[in-house]
Amino acid sequence: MKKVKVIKESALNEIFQFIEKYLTENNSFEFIQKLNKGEFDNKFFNEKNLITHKNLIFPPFKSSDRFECAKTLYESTSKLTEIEATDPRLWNYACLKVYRDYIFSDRKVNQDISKDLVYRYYTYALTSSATTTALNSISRLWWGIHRSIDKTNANNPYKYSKILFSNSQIFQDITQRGLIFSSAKLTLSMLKFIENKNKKTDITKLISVYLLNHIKSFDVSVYSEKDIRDLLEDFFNDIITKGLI
Amino acid sequence: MSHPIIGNPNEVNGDFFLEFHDPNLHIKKENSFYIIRPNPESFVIENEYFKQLFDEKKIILSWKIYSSKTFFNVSSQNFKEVKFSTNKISGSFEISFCLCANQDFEFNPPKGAVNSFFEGKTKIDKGCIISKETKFRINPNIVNRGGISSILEFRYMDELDKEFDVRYNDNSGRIVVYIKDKSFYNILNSLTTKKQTKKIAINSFFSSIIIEAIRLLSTDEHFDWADDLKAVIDFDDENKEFYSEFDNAINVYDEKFGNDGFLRNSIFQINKLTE
Repeated sequence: MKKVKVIKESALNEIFQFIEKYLTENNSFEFIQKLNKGEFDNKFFNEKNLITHKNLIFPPFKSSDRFECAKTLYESTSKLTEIEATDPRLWNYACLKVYRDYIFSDRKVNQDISKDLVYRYYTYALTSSATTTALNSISRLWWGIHRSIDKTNANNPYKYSKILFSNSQIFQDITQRGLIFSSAKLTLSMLKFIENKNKKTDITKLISVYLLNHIKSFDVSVYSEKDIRDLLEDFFNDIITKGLI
Repeated sequence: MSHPIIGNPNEVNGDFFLEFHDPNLHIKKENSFYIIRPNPESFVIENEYFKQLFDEKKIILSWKIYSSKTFFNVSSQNFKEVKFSTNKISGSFEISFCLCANQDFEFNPPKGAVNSFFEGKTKIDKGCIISKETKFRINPNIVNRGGISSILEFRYMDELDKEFDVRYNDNSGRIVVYIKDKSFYNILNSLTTKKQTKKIAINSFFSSIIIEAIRLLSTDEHFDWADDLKAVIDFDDENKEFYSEFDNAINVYDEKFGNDGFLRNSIFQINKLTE
């Protein structure tokens, strides 16, 4: 069990500088290989540059299933506040040290990996943003659960999280649209709507676009859960009528 | 047929106004929180027909607090305050408000209330936004707003094929200025850490880069550092184009990066050093 740690800001700046220089001068895959072998550990993770969180641990991932990993991570770290869960010092430690092997297999890293993909898969930008949080290999696991967990369902709180993680396209269509993902009401309503539908991926893709257009002219905060369900049903009927699916 | 938007003088006669109280911060041992409240006394709807719709509760004031960094999004209606933990928001946050339909109803303004193009009956659905949306940003003093160091950094890189390379899309999420000359880098490093030379060094070397960054905020391109820079300069989302003009950007830079004129003060500082 590895305790949750964060990298001190000055050290993190130096890590980013080192990575940039290394990737400019060397092959990106070689960097990943060395990272995975721990060859940069002394340089990056000297204990004097780390701050240890007293009570939280980064659990090992025992499955390759993304939902299971996300659930395991969230259960160990659910006490992180939203501010902590957007802290570059935390997620860079998680990516570059604790979960680098997971990232390697989850992202199917191969020798053609580009410099940009190294950054996208293994780092969390120093100025956190919604985009960074939704794209980072590990922070997206935490936030995916955090926004879709149904705490009113004590028996099965991860029911909708499982749907969210069931397909990369569904995950992307919801989490990378800040206006949808920032609203638990919209996120859960969409997941509930597709729960028993066939072609979940196609429906999510089309309905999220309908929804974003709708938000431009309508304030959905005044909608009840039923209003949103009716709205999604209207979108769905229009999609069927137009033969888009 | 579409409906007119109050706040657009070409469509509706009369505007509407609202101000918010300054955010209240309650500091407690375990969990501190903010309280955000609109000021009911500042709320004015100049158009009689829209005022009537509001009084009949057919339309309401809808407002929300949004922070993209932590996906924080809370809505409220009319003058009901919102209270939330300081753990929910990192840095600045955005407040937006509008008037929207609280129910389905028939919009049928009297003659002269709106542009004649919109006269007649129109069906309005629940949730429909019938005003311009006003947005502004709050930078609570207690929160670290960041500053130049959270937006911009400079690094030494000897293999550059030119003296400087400015990357607005650097993978670190900051604007990074790469410097080829090691001695120049060392001097800059030293000057930007000393109190008496920091402002001068920033103005001499980084002002053009920051001004360009301010101008880039007027584009639709995504930059990770944009939220931090917006917080520092109190960016007005409603008036994005304003920042594209060089002279507007330089004035914003001068005003927001230091008290009483950043450029002016650094010139005074040079003067002091040479006295």
